[in-house]
Formats: sequence, structure tokens, C-alpha cells
Amino acid sequence: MQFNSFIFFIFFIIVLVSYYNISSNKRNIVLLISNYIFYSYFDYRFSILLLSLTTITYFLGNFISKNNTYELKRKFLITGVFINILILGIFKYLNFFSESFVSLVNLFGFYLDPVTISTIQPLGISFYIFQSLTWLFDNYYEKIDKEYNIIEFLTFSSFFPTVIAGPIERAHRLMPQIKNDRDFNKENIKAGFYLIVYGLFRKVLIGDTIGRMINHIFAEPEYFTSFEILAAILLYAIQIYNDFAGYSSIARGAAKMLGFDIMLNFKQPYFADSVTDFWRRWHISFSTWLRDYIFYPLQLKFRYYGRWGNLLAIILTFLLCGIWHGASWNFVLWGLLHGIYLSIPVLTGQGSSFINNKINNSSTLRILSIIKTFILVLIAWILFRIENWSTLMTLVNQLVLFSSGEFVARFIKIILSYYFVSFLLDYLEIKFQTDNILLKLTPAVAFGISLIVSIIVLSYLITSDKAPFIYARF
Amino acid sequence: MISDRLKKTILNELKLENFEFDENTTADQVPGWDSLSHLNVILAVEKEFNIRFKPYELLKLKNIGELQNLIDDKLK
Repeated sequence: MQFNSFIFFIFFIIVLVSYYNISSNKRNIVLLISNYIFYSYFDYRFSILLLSLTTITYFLGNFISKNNTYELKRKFLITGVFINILILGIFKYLNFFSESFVSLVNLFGFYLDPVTISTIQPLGISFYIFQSLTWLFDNYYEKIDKEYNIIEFLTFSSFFPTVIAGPIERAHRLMPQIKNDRDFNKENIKAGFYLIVYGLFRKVLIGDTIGRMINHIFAEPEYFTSFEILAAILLYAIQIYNDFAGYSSIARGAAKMLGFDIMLNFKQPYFADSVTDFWRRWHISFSTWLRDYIFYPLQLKFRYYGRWGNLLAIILTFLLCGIWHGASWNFVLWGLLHGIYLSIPVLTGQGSSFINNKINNSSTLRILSIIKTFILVLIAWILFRIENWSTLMTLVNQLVLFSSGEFVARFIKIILSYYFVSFLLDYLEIKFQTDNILLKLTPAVAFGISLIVSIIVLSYLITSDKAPFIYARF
Repeated sequence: MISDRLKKTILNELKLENFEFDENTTADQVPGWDSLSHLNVILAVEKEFNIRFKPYELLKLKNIGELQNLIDDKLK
């Protein structure tokens, strides 16, 4: 079930009532059952995979923590990572690698049939595998200082607010919260409810309404003018941000109502003044995951190669970042492009860019840096959005025609309106130093806004098709 | 207790005038100590104390106090 569906709200109310009406030592059991009901709603067979894989991962993590010798710890870690990546590879990447390999071989005049399997990708597999892997890594790096039973671990690895699309939590952060008692707290319910309303606003009223306008432009770009395609690209940047940030707010809100603090996933990413800064603000749970478990180990391994070692670690990390999003070459190239963006300051030395040397005024410099970063990120979003190479070629061909069409004024109004609302929300998050901005308003105003947003969101959910969360397919 | 030698090495590498460290200070609390400059700090510390760390030893560290302990152990 999706967060933006009626069935989820009914499910969530039942979970909350049963969760808080049972003794605190049984709450993890209620939560674990709820997790599996939520996940089985998509397809019960995927639950069997989730349960088996995470059970194996639990025991391997325990072996790592209970062994004192470095070599044995390392062997158990490698085994655990291998099993998890193998499962991910089979369900998500086998067809992609097989078809890519066969295409390469066929280029040299041989003929092979690709080995493919006919299966649908289990929902959220990239998210829950990466979350479960933190149990192995955190045990290996001795970041877990308590013993956890299997119920606690299975609750962690299938935690329903985050299992489909994150935020990807860490074992050393979330497991202690699962172990501790969580009593009913009115403040948590209020804070969580406001986060859910805020997330639905971003998702349903910003992300989905943009999607309805631009999806057909990306589907058949040959019928649209250069200006309309540019408008679709500009609006896509706002759509993907609000779709995913909205999802993350709903996930954090649902977890908060259950008594958990889930990490912040977005911090006004389009206010970033460099691509490095963008990755400190965009999908933070994933970018810090890559930093801690992939980039740092690679960087330290290659450290005696100087800046080239750093460069190699960046490129490899971002190739992984790209392919994690989907088994497709456009995601690989999107990751590679970000890797190249991040490599430039390493090669040239930070702060020595042309803009930095020419502009002395710090506010002007910051605004120009934000615009420059946004343009770089926007170019990369084109690779992220396209479904095949012919779409990319058509987009580029249409763009270079410099045609404007008759809807220019209307599109400018639409772009400005959406940018204004999205940036206003970001500005308020900065001003109130939290993403839970409704909590900072007077109770009557916050309640009034929540009521209005809820009515509008509900009417949207009744009258139109529910658009799936973009990141839920990864 | 963080030694003046370690403190000076880190401050020099990050081009900081002054910053008060204690055992519990973490890298993300120190201005300029980000994922890219992290490598240079580690290389500077290795050079200053003439020691070599294993990646596993470094990745286990939770704060600067543990880095100091690791250096002290290597110098014993």
C-alpha cells in the first residue's frame, strides 16, 4: 500500500490504536506484524524473501560482533555483503548485465542470447538491503554496543515507514530506539501528524500536479516546442524534489507517531552552493550511507595515490550511486556525471573557480554559486528522467530548434508559481530551523492549514489517479 | 586528552587559526573537516607521527579522542 492511499490511512490508524493499547514490552511484536502486513499487501512472496534474507543477515551480524579476531569478522562481513548483493543482483540487475554483455559481444560479430529471468523487482529491495547491510557494517566497525534479539532486528529491517523508499536508517541509530520503551506521547502524535500533512502537500499538491503536466511532454517530446521541453525539465527538478522530500516527511511523520526519530533526508538541496554541498542536502540518508560504507573505505585504501586516489574513490562511489537507482545506463551516466562534477574541485583545488576569483561580494557569489549548482544538477536530471536514448535524442533535437510556441506566457506563470511555492517552503524550513514548519506556527493556524491541506489532498485522492512515489520503484 | 601535536597537525591541515578540541569532538564538528579533506588530515597525521593506519582502524573511530588513543598505541 502506498502512503498516498486510503488503505494506508486505515491501516495506520489500526496500527496506532493497537500499538499504544498493548503493554510496552509487546509493542515490537505489534510493529513487526504491522511491518509484514504492510509489505505483504504488495505481494506476499516478497515478504518471504525479506524475512529469509534479513534472518540470515541477523545471524551473520551476530557472528561478526561475537568474534574477536579481525580475520573472522572480515569473513562474516564479506559473506553477508555477498549474499545481500547477490540477491539484489538477481532481482534487480541480472537482466541488465546479461543484456548489456550480450550487446557488447554481438558488437564483435558473435551471436548470443541473453540469460534473463522473468520476475518483477521486489518493492523497496534496494532500500531494505542497504538498511540491513548497516547491521553488518556497524557490527564490523564496533558501532553497536548492545545485544539485540531477532525480533528487534526483523522489526528494524522491515520497519514499514521506511521499508519502501527510506530514509535508509543505520542499525546503530534505529536499533537502540527499537529496544527502548516507547510510551504514548501527545507531542509525538502532533509532530508526526504535521509532518505527514506537510509531506502530502509536497507530494500530492506539488509533485503530482507537476507530473500530470510534464509526463506527456517527456513521453512524446517530438510534439512539443523547445520552450515547452525546457519548461518540463525545469519543472521536473521541482517534481522529483517534492515527490521524494514529501515521501520522506510522511515516513518520518509516521515513525514519529510510533515514537521513533528517523533521520532527516533533505535539507533544502536547491540552496546548495556546490555539487558537494548538494549531496550534503539531497537524499542525505543515502549519500551519508555511501560516504561512510563505500567512499571512506575506498578513499583510505587509495590514499597513497594522492588526489588521483580521491578521484577514483569519488568516481567508483558515484557509479554505484547511479546504478543503485536502477538497472539502466541512464542512471549509470547520471551517477558518473555527478562523480565528474565532484572530481573537479579535487583536481583544481577548492575555491579556485572562475566565479570565485572574479566576484568579491559574498552574497552575490553565493547566489551565483547556487544558480551554477542548480544548472549542473538540472542537466544531470535530464539523464535521470529519460526512459531511453531515443527520448534523449528527441529532447536535444527539439531543444536546439529554439521554438517557443503559443503557451510561453502560461508556462512561465506555471514555472514561477511552482518554484515560488517550493522555495518558500525551503525558506521557511531554514527560518524555523526544522522541516516540521507547522509545529512552529501557532496551534490554531497550524490546525487550520492542516485541515485545509487534508481536505484538498483527500479530494485529489478521490478524484484523480494516485501517482506512485518516484523513488518507490528503486 | 588531545595532545598539542595532534591538535596542531589537524589545525594546520585544515588551515584553521584555532579550534577547541576535546576527546568527544567528531570530524563533522570541526570547520572544513569534510569527506574530501578527511584524507589530507589522515595523511598529515601519519606523516607527523611517522605511523601507518589500517583503513579498518580508522573506520572504527568515533571521535578525536579515539584517534589520539590509536596514535598513542602505535607509538608504544
